[in-house]
Amino acid sequence: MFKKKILLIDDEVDFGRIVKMNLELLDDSYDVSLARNGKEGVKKAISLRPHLIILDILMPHMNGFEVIKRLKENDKTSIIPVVMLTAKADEESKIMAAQLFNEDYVTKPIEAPELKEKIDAVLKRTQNI
Amino acid sequence: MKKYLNFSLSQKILIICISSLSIFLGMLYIYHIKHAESLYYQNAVTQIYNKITDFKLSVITNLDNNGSIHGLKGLNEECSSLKDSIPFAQYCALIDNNGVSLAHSIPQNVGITYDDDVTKKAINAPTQSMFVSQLPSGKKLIIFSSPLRIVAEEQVGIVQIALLPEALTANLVLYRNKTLVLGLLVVALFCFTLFYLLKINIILPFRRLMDTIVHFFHKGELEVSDQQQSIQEMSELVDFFNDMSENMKRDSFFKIGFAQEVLKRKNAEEYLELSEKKYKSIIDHIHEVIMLTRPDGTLTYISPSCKAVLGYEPAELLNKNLWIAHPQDAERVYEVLKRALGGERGEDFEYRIVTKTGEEKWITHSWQPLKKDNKLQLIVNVIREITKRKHMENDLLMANQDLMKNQELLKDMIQDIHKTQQQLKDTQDQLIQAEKMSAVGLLAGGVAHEVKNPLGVIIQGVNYLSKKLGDKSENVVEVLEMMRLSVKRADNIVKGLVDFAKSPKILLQQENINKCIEKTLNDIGATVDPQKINIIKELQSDLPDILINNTKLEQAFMNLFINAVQAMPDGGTLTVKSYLSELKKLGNSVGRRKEDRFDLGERSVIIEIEDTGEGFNETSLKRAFEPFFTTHGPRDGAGLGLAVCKNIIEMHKGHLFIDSEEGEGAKVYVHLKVEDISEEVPDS
Repeated sequence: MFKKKILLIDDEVDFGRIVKMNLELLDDSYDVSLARNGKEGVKKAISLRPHLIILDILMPHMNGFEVIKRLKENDKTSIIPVVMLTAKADEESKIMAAQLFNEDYVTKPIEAPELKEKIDAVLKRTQNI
Repeated sequence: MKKYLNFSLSQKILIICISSLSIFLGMLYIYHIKHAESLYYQNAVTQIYNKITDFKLSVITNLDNNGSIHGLKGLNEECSSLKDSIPFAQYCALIDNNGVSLAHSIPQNVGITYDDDVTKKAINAPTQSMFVSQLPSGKKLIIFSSPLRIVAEEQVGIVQIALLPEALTANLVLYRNKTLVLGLLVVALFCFTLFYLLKINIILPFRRLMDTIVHFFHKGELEVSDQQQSIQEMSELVDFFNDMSENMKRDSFFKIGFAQEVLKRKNAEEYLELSEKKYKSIIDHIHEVIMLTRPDGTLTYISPSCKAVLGYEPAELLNKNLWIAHPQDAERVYEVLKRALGGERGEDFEYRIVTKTGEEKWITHSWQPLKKDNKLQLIVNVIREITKRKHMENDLLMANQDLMKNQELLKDMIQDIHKTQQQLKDTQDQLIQAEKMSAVGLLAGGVAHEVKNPLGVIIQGVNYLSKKLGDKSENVVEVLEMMRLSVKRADNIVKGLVDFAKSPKILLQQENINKCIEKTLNDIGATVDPQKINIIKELQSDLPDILINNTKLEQAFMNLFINAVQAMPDGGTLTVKSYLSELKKLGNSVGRRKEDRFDLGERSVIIEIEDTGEGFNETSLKRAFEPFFTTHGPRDGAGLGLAVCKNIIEMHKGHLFIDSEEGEGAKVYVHLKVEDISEEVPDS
């Protein structure tokens, strides 16, 4: 069975774990990997080369925008779509994400079905591309 | 001199009588003495000649027979006797026709010859003769001689006696002295008698009468009368006085006190005289000018102070019309003085005058008409100079005007200060509010991240449990749903906080506001019970496009509509209007103040959201836009809705306000700019 590899980079371990459980419960084709910080996330993205990365913005040491920048700079990860997932729900963050990285954006607290819809939509779009 | 003439009546009468009597008696005395002297002289001469005759008889007796005188012997003793018998006789001699002394009182002189002229004349004198001879010592002698005839009357010699003049006058002097003493005694007796009679008959009665009159007139004792009737005239006078007294006593006027009236009148006259002196002294020395004016305007009196005030001497103005009013005041002075001459009274009429020297002065003029039988007799005028006072008043007025100006300036300054203070306060409030908002923003930013993560975990957990357990128990499903909604509500609160502390920069686009309103109304319409809430739309179709952020305005309108619906729990009508209008009323951010967003008369798109709910009370209305202020329970929101709405509208440079009274619903007005909005609106 084809697995859709998803990398969730979030310093909130519990949140990552429950999202992983939900996504994998909702769709058994999802294979969700977790990274607890940006640095680990970049490493795992390079090694795992996931179909989609769910990325928290506010993280210690390396925030989500720096992670995206690293990913875009690396050929192996530059094409991987990223869904920004953060509690930082202000307009400025959205503008920044949209203008600089042209990435999708969802805000915490997001419900699992909603997140799944977003993931599916992004995956579908990138597959079309 | 007057002192000596100031005798009493009795003294004068006495002096006159004594003087008259003395003159009379003196003249009488002189006349009598003259007459007595003549008689006494003739008598003395006769006595001397008689003694000479006796001597001659003695001589003849002693003649011898032949009758020769030369035979006479021893006649010296007879000569001496004759001489001694006559006082003051110096000698006595018998002298023959040849001048030879035949007998002599001085025996040594017998036989000497007298050849002096007196002897010769005596010898030759046919009769008795008397001569005055002066001795070489100057002493005078009176020589008496008598011829001695013996036979046929033939003269044989002479008898000669020499006497001192006193022989003729000695007795006369004595007589004269006696007469004088007697005369003086008579005069003294007469004077005493006269004085006594005068005193008894005239002086004492007169004094009694005078005392009576004095008692009558001066002391008012009407019962006094004089019974003295010593002499006829005095008696008549006393009778006259008594009659008069009786008449007066009968007279009723005098019965009530004529004497007292006289006394009073006398006292009054004295008082009047004193008073006149006093008032004259006052008038002469006061600074005010006192004038008496006749009805024709001429002066009958003007006090001496007119020289100091008006510059004229009193004599220059008497019996003249005084007209010294300043030309600029002449008209009103004329009108007022005309009334004064008409008999009106006036006080403190102030005007300017021109003095004799041309000096301009201010005076105050008061006058009082004096009338008799309602006819004007005199006008009493009092003029006082008030030039200094007027100058001071003028200075005071100027100072007052300056003060008023300064006061106005001060008021303006105070108003400016108040205005500035108010602006400062507003700015301070805004700064505080901004600071609070900033703090809230920072808080919200931090809280949002920290709260949303656990919320994310919870909602994901709920999702997971719902998926795993939802089918097994209805209660589990219900509980999980309640948890899910609670998380959503908590998330909305956090979103509200974040929105409230939002970034000031929003994107604006030219759009029709009606679309935004309709979309939001549709959204809200789907959530309310149409049976309870009636929604009325009155949107002006031709509204111009304005610069708005649709998302933000939808959020704002959604909040306002939700508030309106929540205000009508028992149902009601929500009316939403939109229209274009000129702002013609000051206030509500319309005006020229710095904080005003609209000018008077500026066009604006206005949205009215009206409900028929509970309305706001006064306190709620004041605090409606405060963050976290709410009149609803916690399930209906955190009290950030209106604050967020106001922020959103102010991002559009618009204005949001509420008009409401408790129990009569509420009407929310949103004013939005029609033009002059930049693409990006900076912080409001």
